[in-house]
Amino acid sequence: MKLETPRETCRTTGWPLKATVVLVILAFSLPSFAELGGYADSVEVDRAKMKASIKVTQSKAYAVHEITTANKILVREYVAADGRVFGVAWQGPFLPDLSQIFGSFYNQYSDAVKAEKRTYAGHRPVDIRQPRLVVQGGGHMLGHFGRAYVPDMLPEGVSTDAIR
Amino acid sequence: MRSDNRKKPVHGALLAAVAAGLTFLAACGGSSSNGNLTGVAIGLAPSVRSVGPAGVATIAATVNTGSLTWSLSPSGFGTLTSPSATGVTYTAPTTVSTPTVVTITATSTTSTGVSAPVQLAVQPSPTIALQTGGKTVGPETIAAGQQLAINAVLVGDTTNAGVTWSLSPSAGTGTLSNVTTTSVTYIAPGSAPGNTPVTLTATSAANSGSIATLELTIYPAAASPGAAANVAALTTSGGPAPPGTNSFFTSVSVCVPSTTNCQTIDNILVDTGSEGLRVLQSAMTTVVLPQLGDGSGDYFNNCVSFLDTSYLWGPVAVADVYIGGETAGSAPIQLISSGNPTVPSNCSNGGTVNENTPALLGANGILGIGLEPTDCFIQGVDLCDGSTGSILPAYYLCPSSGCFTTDPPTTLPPTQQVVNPVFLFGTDNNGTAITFPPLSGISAPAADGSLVFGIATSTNNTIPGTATVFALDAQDFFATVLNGQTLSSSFIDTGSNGLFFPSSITVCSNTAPGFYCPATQQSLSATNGGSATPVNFKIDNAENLFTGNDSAFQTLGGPGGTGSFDWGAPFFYGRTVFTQIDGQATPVAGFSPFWAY
Repeated sequence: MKLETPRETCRTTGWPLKATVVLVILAFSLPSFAELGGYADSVEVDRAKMKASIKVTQSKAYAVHEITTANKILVREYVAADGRVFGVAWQGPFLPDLSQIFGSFYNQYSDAVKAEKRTYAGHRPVDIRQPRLVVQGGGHMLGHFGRAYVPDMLPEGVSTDAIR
Repeated sequence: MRSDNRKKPVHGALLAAVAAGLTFLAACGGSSSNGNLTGVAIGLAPSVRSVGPAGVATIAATVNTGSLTWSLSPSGFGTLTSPSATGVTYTAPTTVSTPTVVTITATSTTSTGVSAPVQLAVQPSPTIALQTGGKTVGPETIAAGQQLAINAVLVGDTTNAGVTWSLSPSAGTGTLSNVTTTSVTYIAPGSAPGNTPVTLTATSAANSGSIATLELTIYPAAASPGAAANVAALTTSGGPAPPGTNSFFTSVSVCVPSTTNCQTIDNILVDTGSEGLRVLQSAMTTVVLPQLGDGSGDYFNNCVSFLDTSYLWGPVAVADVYIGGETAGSAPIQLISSGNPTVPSNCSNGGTVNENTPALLGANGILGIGLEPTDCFIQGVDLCDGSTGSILPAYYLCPSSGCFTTDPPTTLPPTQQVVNPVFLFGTDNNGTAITFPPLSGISAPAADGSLVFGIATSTNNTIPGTATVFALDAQDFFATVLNGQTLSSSFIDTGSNGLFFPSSITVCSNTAPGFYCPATQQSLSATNGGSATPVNFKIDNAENLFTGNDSAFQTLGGPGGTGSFDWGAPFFYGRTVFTQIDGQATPVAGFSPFWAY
């Protein structure tokens, strides 16, 4: 695993994205993400295919895999020392493929959203707080953001604030 | 494998994706834990929210320690009996001359600083509800020359005396016909110079203190373009599943372009957090709109997602859109597909709930009148026309038989994208002003407001000198500071039904998931965009708020996404909020788009 040094700061550039072109993706297929709760191996496979498309930043307790899709959606995956993804975060003009990045947690998430919908119609930010899954997200048209994590998979000493 | 040989978009082959110095949002600091309650917590749940003379309401209480004492305000307006740690019984006076709100307060015996209030509306007898077609009517807009049949439904009218009807003002505002003690037909005048307000009042013949009113706005007939009308009525009442929850409804007329083949659709949710008119196909019962195609037998379909990860899917149609005296000619709109057509996975996998019924959507459609001209633009950049080198997964070109799950998104030029209708108006096309009066209490059966088109284009949409104009960042957000924490992705949105922000306030666990349920009312303050004037607001227990039949809630809130304050519908009660459309004429040099209030 090639590790890059952590970036100094994030610059506040929004759309349009003025920075360097760093990846080329064939057709419209989304890159395959590792899924929440699963192992990060598939990220490495994708990284090999797409060269620099994934940035990896290593800190003491975990690594952050940062991938930008063809639709300019930025997804960060938080990988623990055991290689498993304990959190994901996203930001962009559209939602990422949630079924892909939530993996085996997607049905649990979808059921929770549908249960809330049954109680009160109308739109409001997502806030799912279950023992094994926390999801928070919001935004407006063309400005979405959110995060999800599995509380009992958080590495020791890591704050949930890190997932963003 | 698909077998059709339709054309592919030319730029479907190679895409350059751009990674940028995108900044993730500032940490909200809100952790996953529900706030820990220390000390005394009181929860109240009234059996009803409204009683008539001698009516009885029981208030159930839960308190984690000690007992409760009870008080009533105004004192002596009715009685409290059987006070205990588990509740109290309220009985209204036998004679009620005017509608009165009473506040019943439970106070802890172990910590007298801790108390919880609940409010009840005490109505004079008889109570009167105005209906049309069996449904409760809110503020109505009516075209010049049209008529509306209205019934009065009375409860407690022991002598069956019924009501008398009156119009205010009485001159030039139409006539009443077919008058009985429980029904009337209102006939609007044959012409109107502009939007003309009129109030219809039903007064109990047995008790002149008991009245019901209906606010009507007469607008010039749609066939008179250029009229000075620029106002649409908004109300929180109605909706497909009343009572609604802080949903601002209006009605629009959609017509086959350049014809009088039109249909008026009510219960359209006004949303400043999105762009474009989207109507449930199932609500289009009498008019068939032409769908937008490529001229070779394929048609454009549209996908949008909302902040709760729900999504809408359906074909792009073209319509003349009439609202509040304004016209958007040949506007691309979305028809939300009923049934279960195949949705491309690029659309559906980003979402969870396909809101393709009135119950799921909470409306018959959504009128997106946000900061941008179409559903593809953000701060001058078109994410759908191919100009950025990537394509938003918003539009799909498919045969009339439908799409496949594997269909990729396609490009679409701006003139064919689903459009913010205000952008297409002949005048008053640079934004909106939405205004509501303050609620008299923490909640109300209904709130009625106005959607005024244009900013500084008329005498009724001038930005007052006391207002602050807010510049926005590259994603149309501004910063809100709450408790010293900067929430950098904050926004104002009529389409969100509460105030949503990170907090340690307890989240509801039972009947109101996704909202806050503090044991006692919480008073908070936040500052927007460096404004010198803080916004003070309060949050009440949502499960208590939802126990009645109210549809307007001043103090409804819930947890938000990280780093964001979502100023939803309650922010509009007692305010006028301006939403300026990016790139349109701006009355504030250097600011576009902007919010102002």
